[in-house]
Amino acid sequence: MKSLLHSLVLLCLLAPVAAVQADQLRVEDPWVRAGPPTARVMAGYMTLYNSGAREREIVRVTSPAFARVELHLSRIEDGMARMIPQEALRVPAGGRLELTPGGYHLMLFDPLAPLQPGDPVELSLHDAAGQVLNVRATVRLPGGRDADHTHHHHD
Amino acid sequence: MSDSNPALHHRPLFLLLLLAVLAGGLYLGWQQFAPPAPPRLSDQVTRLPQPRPIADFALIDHHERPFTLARFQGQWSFVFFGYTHCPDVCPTAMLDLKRTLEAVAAAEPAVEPPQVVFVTADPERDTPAQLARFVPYFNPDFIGVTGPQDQLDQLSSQLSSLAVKVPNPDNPDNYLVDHTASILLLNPDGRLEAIFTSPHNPDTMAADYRELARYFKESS
Ligand SMILES: [Cu+2]
Repeated sequence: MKSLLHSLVLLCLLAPVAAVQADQLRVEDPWVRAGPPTARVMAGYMTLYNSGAREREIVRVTSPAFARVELHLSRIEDGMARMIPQEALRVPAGGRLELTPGGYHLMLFDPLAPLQPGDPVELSLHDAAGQVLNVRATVRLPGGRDADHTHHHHD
Repeated sequence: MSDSNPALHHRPLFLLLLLAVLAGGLYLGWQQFAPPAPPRLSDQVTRLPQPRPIADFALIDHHERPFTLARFQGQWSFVFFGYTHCPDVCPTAMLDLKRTLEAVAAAEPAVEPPQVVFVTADPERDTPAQLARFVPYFNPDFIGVTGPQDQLDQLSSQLSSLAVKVPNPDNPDNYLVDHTASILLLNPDGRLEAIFTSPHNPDTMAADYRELARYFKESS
């Protein structure tokens, strides 16, 4: 009985934090584009869903697999392809943000080891309030046959 | 008119047949001398009214062999300006080109396959060795090209392409490069024939390429 009470107290203490992280911000299909084994830069993609009542801002991403991660937007302007570093990735309340080739992406610099298709990549998404969402992405090629096998849900 | 008298029917039918045969013959005869049907193209491609000649240049490929205008002559070439430290737009374009070539090869009737040339917009970092690590990854036949800045500028300006280095103050070694997003098509005379604007659809690009190659062959 005492241990049950203990567990209940612990649960009550932990629940609010877990609820904010898990219930409001969710990631689907996180992936890293497969590239040459010697690539010094790679790109990460995913769809972020925010079921909460307020906008969520991802201000920083870290990964044990890369020396540095930047938030970028690719855009074609007047026929020029440019990448624009972003201060934050904003996921609207009750909405979603897609990170996709040719659009928003994580710019992943200097992999610590070469990455092969199928390899997992751990990513930590830090929001403006200091909360962290941990995500496991998979290395793969975009589109085509090999895309359908990698559908991951992280709650 | 009554169906009871067959003679009334057979005579006009015979004349009609004769006329059809004559018309058919005339059409076939006219076709021999008529110009080939102009290429039917998607709205993703702009064909130049007059293919644009290109002045010679002295560059180097990822095998460290000279790459000059002669390498564009005698075959079709898709040309893309990009840089290997580009993780999003450039790999997408290379994959689109790989899939375009697959779609060209899969369709009937057979047309000659184009070569694919990736010209760097970032010669500072894209040495032949660096290009060799990036370009053949997509297709072993793809060619990476680099060389002196003035020679690259000369080629890119003739192909209406631009590259602009963008400093990355937080991360100076990892500067970015803005570059033209279009893919260019040079014909076997080594002239700029058409420009494919972004985003690229491999199936559409393959169909457009096949039309342009067909028309070029029929009209030369
Ligand atoms: Cu980027």
